[in-house]
Amino acid sequence: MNEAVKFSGRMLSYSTLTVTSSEVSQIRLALDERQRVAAINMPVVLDATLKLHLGKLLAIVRDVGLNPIGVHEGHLAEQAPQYKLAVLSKSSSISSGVKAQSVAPIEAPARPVDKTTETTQTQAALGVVVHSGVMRSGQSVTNPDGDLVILNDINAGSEAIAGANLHVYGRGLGRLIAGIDGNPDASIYCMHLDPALVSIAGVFCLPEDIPADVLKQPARIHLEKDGALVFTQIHTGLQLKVNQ
Amino acid sequence: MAKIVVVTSGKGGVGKTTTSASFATGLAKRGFKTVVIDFDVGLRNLDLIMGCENRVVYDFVDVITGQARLSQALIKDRAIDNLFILPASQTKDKDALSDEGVASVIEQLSAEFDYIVCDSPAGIERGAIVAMYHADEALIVTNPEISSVRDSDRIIGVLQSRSKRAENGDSVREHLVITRFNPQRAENKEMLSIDMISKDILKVPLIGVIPECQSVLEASNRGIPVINYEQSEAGQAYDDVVARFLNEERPYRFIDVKKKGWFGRIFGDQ
Repeated sequence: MNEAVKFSGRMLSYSTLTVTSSEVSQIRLALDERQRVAAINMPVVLDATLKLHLGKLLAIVRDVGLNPIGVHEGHLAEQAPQYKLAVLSKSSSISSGVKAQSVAPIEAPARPVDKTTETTQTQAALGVVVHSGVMRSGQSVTNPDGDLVILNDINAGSEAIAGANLHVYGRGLGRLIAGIDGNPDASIYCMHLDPALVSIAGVFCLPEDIPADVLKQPARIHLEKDGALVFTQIHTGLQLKVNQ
Repeated sequence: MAKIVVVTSGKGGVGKTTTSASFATGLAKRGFKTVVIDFDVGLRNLDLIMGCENRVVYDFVDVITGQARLSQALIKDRAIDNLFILPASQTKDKDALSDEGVASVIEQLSAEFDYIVCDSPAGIERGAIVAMYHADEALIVTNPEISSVRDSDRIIGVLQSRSKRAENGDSVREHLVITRFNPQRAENKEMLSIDMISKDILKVPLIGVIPECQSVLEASNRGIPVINYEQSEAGQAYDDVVARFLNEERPYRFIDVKKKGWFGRIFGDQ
C-alpha cells in the first residue's frame, strides 16, 4: 500500500472573526484595537452578519497580521471558492462585534514549556493540563489549548499561561495569563491573589492597579464586554472593576 | 558509590564556596573520605578558601582534556587526611567542562570517595548546570535578602528540571542553608525571616542558619575553612549543618536576638 499520504481526524482550535459592519474604516479601526489580543499570523475563520466584499475584507485582515484560513457558512460562503478559502460549518454560536472566539479542541496536546519532574497530567478529553509542583522563578507552564490548573504556588518570577481558564490553588505571585488566543470569556481563579501581572485576552493589569480589597485572598478575574477587567472577591462576591 | 552534593545558589557572593569548604571539611573530619570540586572555571576561589592555592599544579580542566591524571590534580588537605580538593582552572572558560568529561571524572571519584561536594559557580549558565547535573542532594545557599531568595527559587526550578535525577524521573533532595543571618536585623524586619524564606517562599527544608560573623572573612583570608574556627558562631553553625546532614538532631543556635546585659545596654553591642 502506498503510504505517501495519510488522513487523520483532528479537530483544530481556531478563532472566529465576526464582522458586523460593512464600513472599511470601522472594521480597520476595530481590528487595530483588538490587534494586541491576537498573535501574529493567528489563523482565523471569517464570518459576517451582513454581505461583504470578501476580497476587500481579506486585504484588511491580512494587513493587520491575521491569517484567514476559511469562512463560515453564511454571507461570505458564496465568494469563498473565488479566493480559495474553505467553507466551514458553524458549530458554535457567534457573538456580535469583532470578536475572537475560541473553539474548544477535542484532542489537546500537553505542552508545558519547562520540563519538570513534577507531574503535569493531561486530561485529554477536556484539554485541561494539571501542574502539581511549586512553580519556581523562571519557570513557565503553558496550556494553549484549554484550561490550566496549578495546584501549588506560582512563585514570583514564574508564569502560568492558559488558552482558556487559569485555576490557581496555591498562591499566585507570578504572572497569571488566561485566554491567550484572545478568548474574552476566559477567567482566572486564584486562592491567594498577589500577582506580578494578570492578563485575560491581552487585557492586562499590573499590581498597582489591582484593587487592594482582592489582594492576598481568593479571587476571580474576568473580562467585561466593554473590555474592562473585573476582580471578584470569591468569599463576598464583591466585584471591583478596573477601567483601562 | 559516593553521594554527590552540589552547593548552589543562583546569586553570587552569598557563600557557596565558604559553605562548600566548611561542609566538605566537616564531612572529612567525621571520617568520610571527601572530595570538593571547584566548578567555577575561570574564577577559581575554592583553593584560596581551602588554603591550597600554592599547591595547584594540574586542575579539573586538565583532567577532562586528558593532560593530567585525576590523581595528579587532586590536592590532599594538609590538616585532614580524608579531604581532597579538585581545583578549577583559572585560565580556561566554562565551555571546557564537557558533559562526558565531567561525567567521567565524577565516575572515577565516585568509586573512591564517600562524598563528592560540587562547588557551583553563580548564575544559571553552563558551569552551574554541569555542577548540579550529577547531584543526589543539594545545599541551596541563600542570604536573607529578596534577590538572593528569588535567584535560589530559580536555581531550584533548574535543579528540578535539568539534573540527571530529574531527567530520570527522580528528584534531588534539597536542603536550605541561610547564610549571613543577623537576628537583630531580622527582628527589625530589615532582613527576611527564616520562616519566610524556608516555608513561605522556597518551601525547602532548612538544614542550617549561619550567622553573620567576622570570623568568616578572617578565615577566608587565611585560607582556613571557617568550620575549623571552633569557637566562632559561624564555625559552630557549619558543624550543625554537617551533623544535621548526617541525620543528627541539633537545636538551632544563633537565630534569636541576644539579650543585652547592663554593660551592652549602656555601651552598645556590636
